[in-house]
Amino acid sequence: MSAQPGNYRYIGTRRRTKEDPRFVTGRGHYVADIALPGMKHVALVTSPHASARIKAIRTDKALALPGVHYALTGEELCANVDPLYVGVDAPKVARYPLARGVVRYAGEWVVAVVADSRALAEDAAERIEIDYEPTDYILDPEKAILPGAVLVHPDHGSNVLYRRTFTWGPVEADFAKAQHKLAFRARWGRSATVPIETFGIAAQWDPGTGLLDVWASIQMPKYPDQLARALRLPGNAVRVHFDVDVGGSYGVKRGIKHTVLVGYLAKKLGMPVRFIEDRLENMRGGDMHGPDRIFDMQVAFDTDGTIHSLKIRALDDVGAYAGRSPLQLGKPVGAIVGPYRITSVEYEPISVLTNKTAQEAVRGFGQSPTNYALETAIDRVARHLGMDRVELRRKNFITRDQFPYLIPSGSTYDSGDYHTVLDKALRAADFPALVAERDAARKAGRLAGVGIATCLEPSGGNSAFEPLFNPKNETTTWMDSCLVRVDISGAVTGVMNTSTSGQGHETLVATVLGEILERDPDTIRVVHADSLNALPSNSPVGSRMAIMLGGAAAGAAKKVKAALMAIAAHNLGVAQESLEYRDGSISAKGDAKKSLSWDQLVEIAHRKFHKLPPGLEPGLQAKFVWEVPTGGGLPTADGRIQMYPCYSFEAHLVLVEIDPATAQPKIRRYLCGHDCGTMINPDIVHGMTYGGIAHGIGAALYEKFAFSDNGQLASQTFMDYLMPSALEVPGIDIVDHCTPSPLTEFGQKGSGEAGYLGAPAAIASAINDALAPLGASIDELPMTPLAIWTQLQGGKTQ
Amino acid sequence: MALELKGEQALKVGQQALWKLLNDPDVLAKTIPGCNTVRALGDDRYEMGLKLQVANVSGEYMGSVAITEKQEPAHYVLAVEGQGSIGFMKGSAAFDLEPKGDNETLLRYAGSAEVGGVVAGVGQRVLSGVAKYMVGRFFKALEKHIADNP
Repeated sequence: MSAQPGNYRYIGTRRRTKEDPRFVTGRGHYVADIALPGMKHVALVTSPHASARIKAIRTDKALALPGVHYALTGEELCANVDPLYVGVDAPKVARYPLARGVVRYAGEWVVAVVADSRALAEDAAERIEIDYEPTDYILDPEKAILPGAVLVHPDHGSNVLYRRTFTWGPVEADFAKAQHKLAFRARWGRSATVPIETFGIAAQWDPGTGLLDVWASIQMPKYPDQLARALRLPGNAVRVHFDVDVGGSYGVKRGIKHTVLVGYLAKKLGMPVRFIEDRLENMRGGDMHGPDRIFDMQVAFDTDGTIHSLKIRALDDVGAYAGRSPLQLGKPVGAIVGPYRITSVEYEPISVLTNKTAQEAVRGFGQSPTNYALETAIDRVARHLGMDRVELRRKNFITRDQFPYLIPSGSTYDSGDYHTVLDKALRAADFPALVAERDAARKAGRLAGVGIATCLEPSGGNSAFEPLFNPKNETTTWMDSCLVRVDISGAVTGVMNTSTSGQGHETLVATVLGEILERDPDTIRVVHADSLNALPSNSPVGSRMAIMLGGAAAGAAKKVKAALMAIAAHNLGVAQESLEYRDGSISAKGDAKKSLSWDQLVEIAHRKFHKLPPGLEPGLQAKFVWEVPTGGGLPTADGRIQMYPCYSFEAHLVLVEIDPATAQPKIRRYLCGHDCGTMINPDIVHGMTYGGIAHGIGAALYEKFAFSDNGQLASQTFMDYLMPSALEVPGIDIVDHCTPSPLTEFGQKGSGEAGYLGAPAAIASAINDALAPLGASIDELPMTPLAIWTQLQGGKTQ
Repeated sequence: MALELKGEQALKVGQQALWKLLNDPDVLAKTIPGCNTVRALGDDRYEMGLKLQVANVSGEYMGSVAITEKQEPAHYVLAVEGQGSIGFMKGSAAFDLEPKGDNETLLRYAGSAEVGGVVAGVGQRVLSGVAKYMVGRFFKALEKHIADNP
């Protein structure tokens, strides 16, 4: 199979992205560029305690400063807004933008100060006096689930937000008959995507129209609706401007609490208000912390390497409040066996409250930690059996003739060819040479390891974990949509209905419309509707937009094309089956004289009602709202559900060397074999994959939101929260393969999380391979130089 | 996060005189770095205002100081509790005054403090260094006060 099937004119060709000129020339329009006349600014007073009662708040000294307009406390705000959305059924875990009565983590927002400038608001915030009475706190998620633990939300009655044991298939029988079993623990540290742009939001209330206008740096499902509900406004009293450029997100730009706070202030004060987090507000109390998991894994397998069954217990520390975070344990249900033929699984997700910053979504929505645990299991089985890691994977891979393939938890994988992608990657990396290089380094007295990971990227963003984790939630559609207009001049415009946070949606839509309508994508404009003009959308999350927005754009373009064909048939007096569409013009097959050009067809549609076929609307436009393919179902009683529709695959190969003196790892070679079906724009896919791997290097080796024993976030600046720089990210080779999805228009699958879903597992595999000759291993990410150094000391003394 | 401090300092002053100095609010106000007010509340309790800078974070603490376990002139325990725009601190330290000849006293101190808020997160790497530096400045100021007021 080739790297790119199908005979397309624009799809899959290397074309400059539509967004580049704007960004490269510094003409992006971010929330910090929003300047509304008379706009005021917000700074926050945050809790220094992990847990405390608020005894008194004195704002008078702050309000006495000239230019300070307001100091909002939780008492006032909570009385006037409704609690924010919680993804599971836990109504007593109420969450508001500001603390009321008690604080539950160090960094929680307590007072918001509004002033003429941000600097003044900060000065005023320092003059606010709050009396706290520190109370007991709980930081250890394992202790938090025990009886008698200090409760983060006493009204909830427990620190367990969600817990269920799913059993899919004959788990106990498979374990009983397996020749070998092993068990281990793996821990995924709290990290995130950490974009350079912090969260920002500007809002303006117009009492004349009763409309709240919002500009924000967002990537949040159902954002306008969540915001209107919390502010007790009808949905059509909120207008979110989706045309704000977002300076990085990959999950974390959620911003509901920020927006409810600022929306309330703008309405209350009758002044435009803007809040842009500084780095400390962002790192301590923003939407910045990702999954924080302890996996207890059990594997049942035979001597020949056949893996039969898994038992997975995943304890996730979601911090002090929950929005969608517990659902990050739900998404992995859709790929719980990875790319392997594993016949039964027991899965026990446990979502736990602690006195830490609340967890939010991060790229992959919980899949990358699960992939890391799965791949660690595969490596452990190989080590246990003394079997080659590549062979073990090959032995257990689902084969390409087995698709569509139903996994025990109820999802059907659409397509794939894992053997071929891995083989391509091994060839491209010259794998025997890679191993030889490792062995030569070891002989020379250095530490070196080869890492392998073969992982899935579920894509298409169907949010079936919502009904799975909350029976009261019967959401079964996660549609997306597109509107296409051909104007009177013949120019084509595509309208998107949500925000974009750097995924290149303008390029996506223009390419798809160009392909279907046979018009040059460079001539097609793509814009964002605001939320009052928008068709239904579920935001660009879950690696869904190539599939969903691409599918919606294709559907709308086909409707436009059908209208053009109807107009041509009517005016040429030729049946549609006998007409030929080429580059927007339509002619009778075999009779080129019977022809209408694009301009003539558009002219008829817009001006000549008398020439329109009966029943056709004048003008030339079409909308298409698409349900997620394979979506629409509710979970079965035993929790089986089709999660996402499409499954991309990535095979990572890494060579790492570790400096024995400093324990500093260095990545010497990185290669990723990648199959996301048909690529719509290869440069965008490759860019996502490079970025995802860099992100994965951070999660594997450096990044961690670490807390001190008294619940203080110890890594809240870039001095302590280490991120990989150009020095730590090596040159990365990507080898493409294409197994088209049968479910999508062009065979495309998702790639928004590409690279990140396998990189942490692959790097961990390489580090542990390097440590293997010492009899050492590390089961916790990030594998920091200190953690490696500690192993080196232990290894040497053994 | 927790902060530990321990050390000793010889001062050119007699044990009883040093005891007096360490219990004099006016002397403490002059010698504690960043201290702008010390107000006696009675019963060996004081209210204190401090202006601090740690790394790139600066701000003010308001707090209370209580002296307990007094064994004049040899031993006391100082309990400090404060909070301000940059966080909170809470700690205690034991002080032992040991005569060393007629006109010299060895002051031993050992204590620990819990620190929270912005200063704990941003300044954690330098916090113990800053604390040692401040103790050093305190003793320098105290030595100067002793020399200036023989």
